[in-house]
Amino acid sequence: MADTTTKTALSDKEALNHSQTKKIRKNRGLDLTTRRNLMGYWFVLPFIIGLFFIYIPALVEAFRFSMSTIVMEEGTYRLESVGWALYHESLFVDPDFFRGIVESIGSMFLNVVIIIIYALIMATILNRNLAAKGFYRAILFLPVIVATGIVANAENFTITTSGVSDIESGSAAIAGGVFSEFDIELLLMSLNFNDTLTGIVVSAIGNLYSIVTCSGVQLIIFLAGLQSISPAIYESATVEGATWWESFWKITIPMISPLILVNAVYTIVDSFTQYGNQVMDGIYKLISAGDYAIASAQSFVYLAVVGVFIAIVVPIINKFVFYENK
Amino acid sequence: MEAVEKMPVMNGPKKPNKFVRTFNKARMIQLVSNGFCHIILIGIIFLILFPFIEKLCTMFLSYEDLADTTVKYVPKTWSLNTLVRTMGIMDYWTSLGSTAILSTVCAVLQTLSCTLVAYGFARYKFPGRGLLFAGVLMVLLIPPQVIMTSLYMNFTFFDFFGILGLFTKQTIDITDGIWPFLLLSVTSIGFKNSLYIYMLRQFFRGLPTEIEEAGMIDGSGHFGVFFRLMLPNAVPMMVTIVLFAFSWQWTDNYYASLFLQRSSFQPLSLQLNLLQVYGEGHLYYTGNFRQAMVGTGILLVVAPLFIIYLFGQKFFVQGISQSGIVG
Repeated sequence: MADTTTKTALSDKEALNHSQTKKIRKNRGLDLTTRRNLMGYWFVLPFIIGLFFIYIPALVEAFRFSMSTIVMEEGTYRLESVGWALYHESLFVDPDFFRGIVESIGSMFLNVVIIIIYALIMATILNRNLAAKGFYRAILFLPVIVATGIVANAENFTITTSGVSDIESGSAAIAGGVFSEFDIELLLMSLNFNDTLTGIVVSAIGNLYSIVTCSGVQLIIFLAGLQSISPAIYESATVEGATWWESFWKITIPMISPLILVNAVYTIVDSFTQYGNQVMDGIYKLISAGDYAIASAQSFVYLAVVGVFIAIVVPIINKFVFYENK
Repeated sequence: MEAVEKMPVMNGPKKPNKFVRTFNKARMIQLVSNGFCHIILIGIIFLILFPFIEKLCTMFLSYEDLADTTVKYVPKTWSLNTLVRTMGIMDYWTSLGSTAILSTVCAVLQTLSCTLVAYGFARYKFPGRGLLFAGVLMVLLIPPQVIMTSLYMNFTFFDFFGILGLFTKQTIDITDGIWPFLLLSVTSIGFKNSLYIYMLRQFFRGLPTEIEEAGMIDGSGHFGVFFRLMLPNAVPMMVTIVLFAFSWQWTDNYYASLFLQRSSFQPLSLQLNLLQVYGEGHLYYTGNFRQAMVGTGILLVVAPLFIIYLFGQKFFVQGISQSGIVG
């Protein structure tokens, strides 16, 4: 960005020397740079229209819904204000909503950590000069394309129905069909791991499939980051006698730490909005039942929670991020 | 650890003498660690592909095989019963056509509008740019479900941003077609569009300003520079975005179920929704059979994407690595 500024400043200076500048100045009463920059509005126009005529009105409308009851009328609808009652109801009366929020925050926190570690490890592996690495990359990114939206949703359906109707044939869950969580739990127990750690590892293994399918985008971002690190840095570190392990922690991690932040935010938002999230499912159910007002109230509470969560997490991660230009 | 030997393998160019047999210690370590990586990757690839393989196998089981607990994956009698029935219920070819039209139109429109907007954000320092870009991030971060209801209401009682309201009290219900999709795509606030704007903006920021200046000196206007000089450079990136937009629109259930529920224009994602409740409680449609049908349905939805990904995969991976989010 600094580059652009100096460039425009330069062209501005050149333009001032030019005799034509006077003419242009007379035309609009604005200097060349400002005139040029105002052109930007034409490019951004679609988004301006979208934001101010569709998105923000919808957001404001949603907020109004959350404060009122909706009365349907012929050709239109009317809102009757009820104040904060719906918020009160969803937070303190509804037994499932608050618990759902707490639970989804807990599982999301774990998810973010595991997904980022997994994506980082896989990106490091994929960045090596392995045979058939193009093939591996293609398959690992496949879930980004195919295991989204309705497919992920229907996948859940097959897992849950098979769990109910098909217990004896043992294909309850996909990962469960491949290997058993209990073996690992027993192994960790016998190694004297403490209970919380065992629980985390076992649940991560249980969720292995969803972690693998949810981390495609993060993997791409990390891989792009790894490839943008200049090999010269590693070379000089090697000359100085750094081992692979040392240069991983002293070079790779600091260099891609801004991307850890990006990925963390992406994962948080993604896991808050994905299918199978308890709160989102509840909101869906309310909408399909026609309870628009309370659904809006719940989504705003949820949004506030997500916002607070991001506002807490981002500065914490930001403390550990290394910025090259600073 | 013989790090001196190992490091270039990580990031440097390939060694020319890769196949010369020198069994020193470093070489062994490298071979073992590479082998270890292969094992991990193969395991994960198996995990990703296994559901698809499983569904493909189940698809060919005959109705009797599905009821038979001794049959798994390999059919006793091959049959296309499940496939034919699923295609019939999903009205496959018609829905495929609808989905293809919807996804193509949306992907192209979204890519064009996002490219335009991203270019504006990347290259022009107009007043209020920071604030507008904060708007992009806001759209990215707010779960779309928050505005789901009001968006639906807006399009049900649509009055062209208040213009129509000047003439008549009547509003139009445009939720029964692809108009909402077109509107959202053109104004670049559709499904995941903020992410595309963000990626393209990073890309345009990386292009040298000299191109632009040269074009201006040669007498192009701002849009001339954009269309003649910037767009040709951005083609690989735009293909990446088209691929993203196309496949995410293809599997999207959120906007489809919002706007096309009652329409005669039924995309595959809605048909798959329908398939999940089809034949519930009916004696013929046993749990196993319904499950096999949903599995087949997933395969049918995904199959075209699979083929497209096979061809576009290079763009998809490279476009992001070369020019994307990092910067």
